[in-house]
Amino acid sequence: MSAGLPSRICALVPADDADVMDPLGLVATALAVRGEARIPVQALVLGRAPAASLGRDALALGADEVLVLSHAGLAVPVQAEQLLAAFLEVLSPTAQGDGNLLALLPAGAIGEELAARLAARLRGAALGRCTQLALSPEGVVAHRAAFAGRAQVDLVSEGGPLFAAMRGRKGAAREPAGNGAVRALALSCELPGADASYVEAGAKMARLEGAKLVVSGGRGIGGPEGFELLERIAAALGGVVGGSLPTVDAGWVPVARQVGQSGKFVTPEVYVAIGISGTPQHLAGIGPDTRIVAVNSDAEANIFKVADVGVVADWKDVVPALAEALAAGGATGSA
Amino acid sequence: MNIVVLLAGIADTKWPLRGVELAAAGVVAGDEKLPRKLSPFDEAALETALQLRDAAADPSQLKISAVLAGTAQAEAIVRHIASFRLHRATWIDAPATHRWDAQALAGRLVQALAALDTKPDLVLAGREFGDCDDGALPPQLAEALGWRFVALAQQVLLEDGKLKLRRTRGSADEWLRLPAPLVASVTNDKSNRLRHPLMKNVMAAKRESFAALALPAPAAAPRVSPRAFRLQEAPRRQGAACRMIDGTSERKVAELAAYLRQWKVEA
Repeated sequence: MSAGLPSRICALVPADDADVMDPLGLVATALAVRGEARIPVQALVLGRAPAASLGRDALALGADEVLVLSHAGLAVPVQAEQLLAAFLEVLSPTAQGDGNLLALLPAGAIGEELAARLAARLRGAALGRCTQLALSPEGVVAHRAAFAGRAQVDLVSEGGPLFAAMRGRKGAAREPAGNGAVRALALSCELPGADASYVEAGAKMARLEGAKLVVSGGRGIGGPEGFELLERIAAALGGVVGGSLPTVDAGWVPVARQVGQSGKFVTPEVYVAIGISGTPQHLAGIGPDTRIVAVNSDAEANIFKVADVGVVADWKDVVPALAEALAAGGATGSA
Repeated sequence: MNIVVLLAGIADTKWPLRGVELAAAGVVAGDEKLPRKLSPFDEAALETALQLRDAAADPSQLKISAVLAGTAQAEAIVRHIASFRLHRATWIDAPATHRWDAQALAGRLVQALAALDTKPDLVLAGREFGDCDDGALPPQLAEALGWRFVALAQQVLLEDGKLKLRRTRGSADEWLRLPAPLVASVTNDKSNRLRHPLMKNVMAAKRESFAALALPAPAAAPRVSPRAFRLQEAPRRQGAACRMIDGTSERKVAELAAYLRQWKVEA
């Protein structure tokens, strides 16, 4: 049993979520999901004081209707609890039990939490973090990873409203823009309190999201000392440091640096993978267009199957000298 | 304070997913035959609870119960968990049809919480609940209970009767102070790596007997179910075959440095 095609697709955009580099990327995703189907795409852009240009830009991307929602009481950094209350003020009257609604939220901690909780509040179904949504006459088919990225599954739901988290994609402004309208609405709902305080965690780290070059270490690095060298390489190349799940587990890098299925999704031009074997769960965190440069002592490591450039070597034989060579700026001697 | 740690376990990632398939309508099966273990997120949740007990002025007043969802190799995993000297360690039958639907599974876990002999003040679960969840289960559980929810906690403290939770936001640590009851999902961090149990407690757990928690039939049927299932060895990527840099270490370093300099990001 399935639900049939949705009658509307709604992109729910938390404009102040710092983890989302391009908030309107979700609108482009919603348009891609719609494809050729004749289904209206709505964008709900929510923030403390979202720029009016966000609404116009969403319309230019091709959204049929844009609602720019503001609430002066929203905390920044955002709190999911408050965003939930604000989205509910707008959605509850129309979306409660609306089997024809497909709602998208941005992949990431905030968006994924909101997708799950909105599904619960609006008597809908949560589809999780989807890589693709297909519209078929039988209904929405959600494609997502399972078993730590080692398997792919297609999920169907017996009824909506459906809530899915998806990555944003690049969209192009359409000429002329659609005939839709942008409406602004100031919300007044009561927001749950956020007794939060913040402590800067040491040196301010450059963000993985949006980095053009990432130097990442895996279990093969063997300890935190190796990451100091990766920091030097990243600094010399203008990149940022990442790590695999085992290195976060081991405490060699903070969780904010974790790349992979359970961590950050990165799309740099170059991803330098040192001591990383290339498990599916790690590779799931790297964009498909990224060039991978791999250093691994195991010539059979999976990472070489997906790398553009590879070096079979113990990292200790390569990384210290590489850090030195890059810091010096000149060429090292070659044999 | 009563803490319940909800654990899911995963198929050991060191073993290939051979034989795992869509076995019947809405049921992926076969993974129950593979070696199972706690996930890093399960372990982080359990260690977080143990640290709260360590810090309690009177540890006897802080009871930790652990509930494993699923019957596959449940007794062995629960025996391992029990070696941390918990108030109770048990498991529940979580139907295979429910594990793709976080809402249905959350309903089953609510039944489990109600069946325990202690009323929880704090429920901890890993940020991803088993092999089929990608983070929807813990918030769905909080919604089902009507409790506050904190995602991706790395540390939990009890201060002046309130829970204080730390998580990373950008380059800062965020500390939240909230009253119980509360559901928190826990992510892996250097501060919550699961300790090793004492050998005497491992031996004691070996002598214990364990039983599943008896529950009524599931309260709700799943609304989300798998229609297709495929194993994935590696994602498809663009580009040609890997160009290997061979030769001496010096040559490898020189070529690698030259290649990477092309991609240097100018400030």
